[in-house]
Amino acid sequence: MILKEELVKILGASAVVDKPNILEKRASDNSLAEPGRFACIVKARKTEDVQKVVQLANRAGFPVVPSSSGIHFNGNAVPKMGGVVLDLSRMNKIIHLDEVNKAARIEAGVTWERFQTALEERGYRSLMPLLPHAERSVVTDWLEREPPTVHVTEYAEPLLSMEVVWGNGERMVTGSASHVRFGQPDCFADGVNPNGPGAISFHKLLQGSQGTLGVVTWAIVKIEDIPTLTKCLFMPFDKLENAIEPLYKMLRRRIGTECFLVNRVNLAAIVTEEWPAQFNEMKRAQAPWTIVMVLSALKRRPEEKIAYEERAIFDIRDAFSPGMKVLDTLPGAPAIEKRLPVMLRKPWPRERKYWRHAYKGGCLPITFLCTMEKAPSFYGPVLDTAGRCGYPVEDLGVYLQPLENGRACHLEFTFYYAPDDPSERERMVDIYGKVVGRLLDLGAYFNRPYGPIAGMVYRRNGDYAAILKRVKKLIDPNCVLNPGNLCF
Amino acid sequence: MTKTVEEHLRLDLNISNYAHDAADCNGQAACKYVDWIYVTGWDFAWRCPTWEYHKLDAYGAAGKMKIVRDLLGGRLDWNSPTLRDVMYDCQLCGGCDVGCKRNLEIEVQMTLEALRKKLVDVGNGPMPAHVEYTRRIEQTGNYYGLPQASRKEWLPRGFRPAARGEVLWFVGCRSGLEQTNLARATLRILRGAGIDFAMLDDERCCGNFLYVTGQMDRARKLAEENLAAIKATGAKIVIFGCAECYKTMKVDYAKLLDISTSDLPFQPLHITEAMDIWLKEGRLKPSNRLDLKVTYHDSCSLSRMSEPWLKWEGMRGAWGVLEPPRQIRKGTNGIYDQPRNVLKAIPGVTLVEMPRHHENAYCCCAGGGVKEAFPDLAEWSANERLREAATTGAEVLVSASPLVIENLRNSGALKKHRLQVLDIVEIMARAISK
Amino acid sequence: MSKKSANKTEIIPDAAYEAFKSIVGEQFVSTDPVHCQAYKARGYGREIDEYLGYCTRPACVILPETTEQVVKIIRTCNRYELPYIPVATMGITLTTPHFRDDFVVIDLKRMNYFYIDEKNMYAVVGPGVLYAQLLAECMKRDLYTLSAGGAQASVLANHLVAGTGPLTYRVGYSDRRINAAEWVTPEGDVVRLGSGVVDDWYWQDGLGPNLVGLIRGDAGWNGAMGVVTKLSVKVYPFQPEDLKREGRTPLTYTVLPPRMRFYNFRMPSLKAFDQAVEEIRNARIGAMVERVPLFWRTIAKTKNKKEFWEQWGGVTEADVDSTNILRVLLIGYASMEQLKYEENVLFDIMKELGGEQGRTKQTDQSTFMYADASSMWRMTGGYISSSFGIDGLRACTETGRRLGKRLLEYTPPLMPQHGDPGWHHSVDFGHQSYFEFLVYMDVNKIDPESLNYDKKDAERVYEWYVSQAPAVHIQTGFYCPYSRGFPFEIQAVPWGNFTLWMDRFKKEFDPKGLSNPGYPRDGNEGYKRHPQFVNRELKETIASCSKEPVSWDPDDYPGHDYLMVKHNGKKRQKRT
Repeated sequence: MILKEELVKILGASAVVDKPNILEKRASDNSLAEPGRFACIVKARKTEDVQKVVQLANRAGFPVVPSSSGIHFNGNAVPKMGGVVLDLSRMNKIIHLDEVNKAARIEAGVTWERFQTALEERGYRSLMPLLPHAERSVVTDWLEREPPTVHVTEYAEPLLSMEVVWGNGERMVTGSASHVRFGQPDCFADGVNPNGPGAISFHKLLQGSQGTLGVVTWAIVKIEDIPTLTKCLFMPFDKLENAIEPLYKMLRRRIGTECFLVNRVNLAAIVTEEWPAQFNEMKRAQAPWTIVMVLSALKRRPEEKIAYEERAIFDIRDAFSPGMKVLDTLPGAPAIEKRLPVMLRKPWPRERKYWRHAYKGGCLPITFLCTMEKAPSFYGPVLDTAGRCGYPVEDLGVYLQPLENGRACHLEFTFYYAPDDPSERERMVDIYGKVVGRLLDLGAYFNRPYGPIAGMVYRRNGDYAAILKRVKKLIDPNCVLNPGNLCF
Repeated sequence: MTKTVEEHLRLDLNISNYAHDAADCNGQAACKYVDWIYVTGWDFAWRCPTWEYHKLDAYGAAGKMKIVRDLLGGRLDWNSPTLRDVMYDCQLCGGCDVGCKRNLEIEVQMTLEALRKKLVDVGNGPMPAHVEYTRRIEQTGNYYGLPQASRKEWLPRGFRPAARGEVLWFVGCRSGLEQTNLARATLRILRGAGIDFAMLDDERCCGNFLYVTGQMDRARKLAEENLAAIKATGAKIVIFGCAECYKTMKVDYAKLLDISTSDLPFQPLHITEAMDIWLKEGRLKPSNRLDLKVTYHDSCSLSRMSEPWLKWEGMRGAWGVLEPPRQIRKGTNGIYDQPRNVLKAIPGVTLVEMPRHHENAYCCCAGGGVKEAFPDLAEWSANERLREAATTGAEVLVSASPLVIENLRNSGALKKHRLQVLDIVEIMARAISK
Repeated sequence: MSKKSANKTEIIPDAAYEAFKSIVGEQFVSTDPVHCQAYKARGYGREIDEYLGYCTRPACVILPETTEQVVKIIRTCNRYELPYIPVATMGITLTTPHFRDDFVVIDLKRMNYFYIDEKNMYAVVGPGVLYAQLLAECMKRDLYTLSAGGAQASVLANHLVAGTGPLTYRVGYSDRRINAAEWVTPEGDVVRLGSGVVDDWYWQDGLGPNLVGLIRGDAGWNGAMGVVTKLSVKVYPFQPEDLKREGRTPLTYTVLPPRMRFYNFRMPSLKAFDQAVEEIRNARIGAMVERVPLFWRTIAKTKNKKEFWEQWGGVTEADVDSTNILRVLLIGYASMEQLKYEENVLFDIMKELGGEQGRTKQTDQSTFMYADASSMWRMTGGYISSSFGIDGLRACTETGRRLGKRLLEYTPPLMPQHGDPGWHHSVDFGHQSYFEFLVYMDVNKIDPESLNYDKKDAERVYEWYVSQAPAVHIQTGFYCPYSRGFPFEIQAVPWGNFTLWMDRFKKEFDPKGLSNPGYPRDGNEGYKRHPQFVNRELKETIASCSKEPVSWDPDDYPGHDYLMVKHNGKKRQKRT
């Protein structure tokens, strides 16, 4: 069988791309993953296309690497065992906006830019990770468990029903959208219950699976109203540990919407407008650590809401953290209090260099979950290990994203580096292994085990890996979907 | 919908009258756990000691209701030794009854009492350990098997109680024969309040033990004899120092004789009720300061089980509606406040409540024939109650039942919990001037 | 402890019984029929399950205390091919022995491990911990959760099977309230899920794929996928003032502190009601927003059955139509000022929509400690939810409207509800809605052992439950977990034939089919025994959902012993 010919037969010539320069560009991403070799890129337009490709892959035995975003950061979309890249970026319809239940059904190829723009026109917005790249797929980012910057919802990801093509080529709709007449005028199913159908929550298996179990073609996601009034506050701290208790106290009272804690490096990376001139200055001007807290109100009595939340913050400060400063701006960043809330509700502007790449061209984020109180216990060892590996620790960014009123947090150590410098890449590989190993020893929970982390994680958790493999065998018996990732 | 055939029912000790109650159980666990409103934490959430002790569901009321359903349906053997053990391994404390009736109209307690009667009737009850006590009561007139003359040994020299009077003090076997300090304390209170009272010359056991072990025929005979004896004294009010005697005569005699409590020839009063009245009337004046931090244990018989009995007979119709309407005894009007009023009236006494109090009080398993046949359960339950009392920081656990006092004082765990166990009459006796 | 040492049944081999005794001690295992009878189900659902003869007495009951004991029990069951089922409080009849007489019931009540992490807002519980206990501990720490399924429900079991209630308006449905878990697979392997793998129990996400998805879906496995021995559940920030407990049985209640308030509004129409719900959730205020059916209010106001029937007897359809009571709970989580703000917003909305505030007691016995849950049975002795589920508001309200009207055809024998469209409340600030349609029947009419048992009446009730209500769900698309009474494979037809996947997972993880065997194929077995409850409308509705013809021949569907490995392919041998 000649692969390209078979693919053209089922999808048409315009759907199959194998120009070397295009393949070379797609062979690697912004991670440390080695470039992969693969036969071609197949562009799907509809679910049936996806199904045909996966079914062919099962018959013929070649890997399929699903990809919905225009840019990748974690290495999981780099083909590791050949095969084809299945590109869903053409599947970019916003199918339906459900204003009754505040949800939107979108195809996998819908990007943040497209989505937020469309929502904004109708007065809505979607929860977002921290300043995502405009070309990232919304569905993919939520499947990958990017943490939302809004802490106050009781959900850390907004996914509801979805349509998936499993690794065995079968199509399924999960959740309450699984009704056979879903979407038809006489059917009142809205697809806003993500669980099931039956006794399995299929959507949970798909989350974090890095495209190894199924290809999600569309998903229903929750949306929210755009706030009508906003106030942005900043709380500077000298030490990370001093910021933790105030976070607990404030978030426990369900105050604020967007809220996160960053060190001066990451804060500067976010707010600097003129590169490179302004960056170092901005870094120096900021406190070592800053809590960013955005208070928001909707259309009814917005001033009253902002007022009581602000008063609650001051009450907390007075009762528990008398030395805590609550500022309404940042030094060296004029009008940042007006700019930042707007920034946080949109993807990073396409015309500007992505904030994670602006400093050195690349970054290696090491992310995991922990409780907020444990965050300081990871910080010291990471600095220590990175320092021993020769990393200039003054360049290390830190981002702590509280989740669900502070019951846990996503903790990220952002290693900025120059990806075009081979020695830096080599050092980053070394740092990656050592830092992750140290973090694992300290109890960090890697719910997103990318690349080499996966091996380290699953070696320590053989029971979990064993179950995963059994699940994989059921869903993707021929292991066609994105092999070489997780423990597959 | 077809017409409903009305069923004739009586609220009595015939188990066949409770087929519907057994069927109505819906497994909602109110029989096993404290009223949800009053659950205060992970610990002390349970209300049924026997279920908590054994863990098997058969020991809880819901399990028993399922067993009754299959017994009545002929699918279980009335003569099963396990059946006997399960049904008697229960102190009939009324906790399940009160718990269930918070929301439903199921006569749990009556089902269990009728079940014991049935077991005796078929020859599968009472427990072997009960036989000796039955013999003692019937042959000697008291629980301890002692000569009846022993009942007078505690009386102060020269004191001769009247044989007739409007107020009769029924002493009870425990105070009269074993814990005579309680009898002396009660006497002091009666005298302190200036009450003229009579006592039975030949007081016999109230029959509580016979009743709770399902020996209803024997209990009825004793009831008839006792009522006749009391009537002969001319008493209009009978004061009881013992919670078991009080509840037996006030409630169980009425059941046995198929009357209501209001049909009894006298008004039963527990000593705590009486003290509460005398305090309000100014007859009783506790003037000695005691400086005690106490917690009060609501004895089952005095509290949730002591609501007056209401005879009922009628029909069950569509939707289970009863005609005439039956006023359901839910434990609301038991003796809860009076003992507390009494304690609060004593200078220096601070009252703190245990997590399980009032109608949710945890039975110490002294009653129901459990102490005699299942001493392990009684010991365990007593320990649990002491453990609970210890959490209040109280120095003294007070109750108003000699049976309870005996069980708690005899608990091997008493020392560990550093508590003193006193009857309320002992405290009041100390508080009133000589 | 009483000794129950002898094996009293031939169904459980002596060797297995000895093994059980050595695992838990002889006082915690029994095959005595008296002990086992107490585990024949009679909880919620008995109107369907028990009275139709589904519920059976188990052959053996065993009570482990630790996960290790659970593992050994399950492995013993696998060795001797004994079907087993885990139970906690047995509040419902779904997770209980059905049809077979050889079940080993694993009563998990001794596993009442409890730990609460106040700072990070989660509690780790064993199966024996109830909502009442969890809630009481939470409230000591300015936290709360909801008593889904009633205060008497097992926290662990309920989170895996259902887990709804009006407070989900803010805290969300139970699948999102689960963090980590410890799971013993049907073959006896122990796996930690979520952050439990690092022995820290605060989060649900997996190491990659989230395997918590295996242990519950929209419905649960009800014990058919092994045993979950520990579960971490989220608890939520509350306000700091105590809810005082007052009253004496039967009128016990908590008193709301000033930072919490209930409001009842009588809305001028159902449309205004729906608009109010939308506005409230759009404003993101409140802790609870629900519609209170008129008959619930009648139950709450009346002291006994007779009073209820005197009042309810006079209610008309017009009364029901005009009674649109919206009940709202506000909590000042952040401060008293928050409460004031939310109240102002609420009153603004009511002013716009014509909502009239009624007198509202600031006491509670239904929302937090859920003390009056079982009063639902008081009026008639029997009730069942013929519909319950979560999806969008449209499905809930349309389904309720249709069911309310269709119920008139089945009244009597079902209790008249005068077209009431059921109970629903908002979930997750309106992103979802929960709907439940309760029907009530005179239990004497459907209890085969009752003097007043009437086969025709009973069959009409069952037809409603088995056929009519599901037919309406499928017509509207309302997402209701599977029910008893007709083949599971057919139930799955309108929902993408999901049984295919459930079967694969079941076969993979429980190859012998011992963990609650046949569940949820109890519907298949039920259908074999009572095919008469399936009406034409249901068949036609199902047919409209399938491109292929749907067979209704009972022999085409595996029954209750689906997957169950029979002992040597024959009936179990007598013990030796």
